[in-house]
Amino acid sequence: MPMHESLQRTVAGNSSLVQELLPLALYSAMAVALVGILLLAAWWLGEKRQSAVKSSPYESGIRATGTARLAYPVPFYLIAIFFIVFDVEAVFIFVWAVAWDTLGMPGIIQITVFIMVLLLGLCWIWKKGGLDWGPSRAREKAPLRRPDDGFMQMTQTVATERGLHGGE
Amino acid sequence: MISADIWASMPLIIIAAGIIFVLLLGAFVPGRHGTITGVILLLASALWTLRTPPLPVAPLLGIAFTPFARFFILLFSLTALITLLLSHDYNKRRGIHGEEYPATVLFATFGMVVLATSANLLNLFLGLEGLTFAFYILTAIDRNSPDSTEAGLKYLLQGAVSAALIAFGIALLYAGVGTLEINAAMKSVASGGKTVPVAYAGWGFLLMGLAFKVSLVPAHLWTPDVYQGAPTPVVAFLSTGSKAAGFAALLLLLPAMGSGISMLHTPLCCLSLFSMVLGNLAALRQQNLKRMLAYSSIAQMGYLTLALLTGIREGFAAVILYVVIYTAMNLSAFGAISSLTGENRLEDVEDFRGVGFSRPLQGGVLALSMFALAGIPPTAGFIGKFAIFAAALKGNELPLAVIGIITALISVYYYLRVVALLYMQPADGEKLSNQATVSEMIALCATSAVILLLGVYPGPLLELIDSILR
Amino acid sequence: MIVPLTHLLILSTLIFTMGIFCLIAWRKNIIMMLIGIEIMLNAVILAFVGGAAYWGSADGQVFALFIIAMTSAEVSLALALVVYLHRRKKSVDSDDFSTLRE
Repeated sequence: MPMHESLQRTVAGNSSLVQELLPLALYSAMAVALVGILLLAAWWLGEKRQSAVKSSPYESGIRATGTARLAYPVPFYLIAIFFIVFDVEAVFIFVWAVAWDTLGMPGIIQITVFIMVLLLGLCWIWKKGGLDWGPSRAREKAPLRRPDDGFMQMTQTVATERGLHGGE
Repeated sequence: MISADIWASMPLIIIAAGIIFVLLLGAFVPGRHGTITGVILLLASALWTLRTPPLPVAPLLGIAFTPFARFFILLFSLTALITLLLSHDYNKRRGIHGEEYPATVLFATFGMVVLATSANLLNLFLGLEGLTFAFYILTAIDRNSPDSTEAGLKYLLQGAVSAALIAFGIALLYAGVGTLEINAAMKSVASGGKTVPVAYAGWGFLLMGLAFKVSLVPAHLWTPDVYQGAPTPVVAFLSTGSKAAGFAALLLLLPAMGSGISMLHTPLCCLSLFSMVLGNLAALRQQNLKRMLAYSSIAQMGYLTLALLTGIREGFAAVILYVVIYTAMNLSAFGAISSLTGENRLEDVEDFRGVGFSRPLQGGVLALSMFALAGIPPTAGFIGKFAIFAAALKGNELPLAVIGIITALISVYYYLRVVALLYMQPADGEKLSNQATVSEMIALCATSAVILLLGVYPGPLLELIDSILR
Repeated sequence: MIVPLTHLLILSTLIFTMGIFCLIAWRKNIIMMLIGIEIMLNAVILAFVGGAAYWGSADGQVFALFIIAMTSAEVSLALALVVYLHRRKKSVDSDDFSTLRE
């Protein structure tokens, strides 16, 4: 491979070292210079007066209220966690797939067992309601608390139960 | 994949298929049949192990169905079985529902069995991590108690660090010797060579990680918190199964090194010394019984390490003997506590005042296990401690053995304090303890019988251990 | 192999140490502790791949793959616990979880 050869020559020969590294040095210098010029220009051309309005996130836009660190509904986390687990198991399927012809029948049997176990796990999650978006089965079966007064409060209760208002 | 491979891995297959079966059964047919299914499956795997002769290594799977593996599969299956019996009614009382519990207990057993059969460092690591993962979940499974979740998080964070240490240790070992086969790797570590210093560095990391798993002193910080917070049957399983698995891992690695064990002599000495001294001294000032037993188990692990570091055959035999006895002792101690726990959580030592009169069976089992843990004859605890100190003296570890005997004498105080509270003072019916149910009675009677039987008649077990080390 | 094994091992040891320092320095935040553990495990993977390249055997690479899978399981378990604890206490500060003590 040419790249390996050139690298080996770099390590071996001292005389050619400067010659080999010159493009790298030039490139680094150019990159640093470009970034430096851009930063300098922004500082030089930019407005220097500071005020409360100027430092707000959306200048002359809608004023932001509350904190940006909202608690997301829990189903997002659940789905993300399931995704991590099932996604990474694909590693083993890829490993089998690149050598499936040499592995032959035993390989096919083993990967089938592996995928079956994963599928049964998915079945279990599905059956237990882990993939449901909204209130869990247990909560749906429980008698719904109906507030006495007003439509507004009822929608709020439903929204809370569906996990739309923050973490709970 | 030849039939011998399947034959050798049959206990694994039984338990693995059982986990999936228990999970799916629980999801499709609601009810509490996880326990009975789990018991049947564990009995099946134990019976299969008993009926099948040892087989040579299955190279494709990296597992070996050796006499050593057979012995430990049997031990782990029976420990898990007792745990399931203990937890069935405890879970009902404490409101822990679902098929996840028995399935996770089975998964922990699966990890232990993989570890015991491993002939390969990869399998060893996966088994160890598999069982620790299951214990993270089991520790945090009681969702009605904030302590349980907190204990689970503490265990997980420290356990993940120890997993990283073990993995890094194995990585350095592999970089040093170039193989993951346990026997070949350990032989080339012991033989010495150009890259072996790297392998020794790896052993250092590995030892630190394993010290965490069996809670030896510099790495013991998680133990009291987890013992206090986790559901009591889980603690019974954690303090026996996972510790036995940790020592099974050490017994797979260390004897294969031959004389190379002398390089690890100093670190093992430190671990053993600090565990014996600190564990026993810290246990003296505990008011919570579960915390006290946590520190006591740290001390017991110190005794085990003392026998291990001698590097002689008698030492390894003493380790296996004491692991079996320790399993029976701790299962009955925590079993009695969990069976006494009903609506009220009995936690403080003072809560057990007079329980020996109001609840004769559980109080008696608790007292017996305290006698055994203190090492008083004719219980099995005496035989185990005797074997350990005899092996230590034979292996020329006189100073450590003397310190061990002194700390063991100190420990008698805090064990017998519990017995004194159980029997010496009259019962005041303030805290109502729970009546034992049938499954709990079976489990408690079985472990107590093992303690007494091994105490008066240890001969057959000693012969068996002698034959598996050959 | 172009890069000597020693260099790889030194690099992975450095990364491993950085992971430990991340763990110690950010002891207050559980998420940062998990990131530190992740860094440690990545150093392990690097050491395994380096060893596999040096000895010319696939064992180390297989181990690296299994560590990736194990890490994902561990992280998902830890995150599930963190989400559950966060709902209870509205915090990921490890000092808030200290009811279990002497």
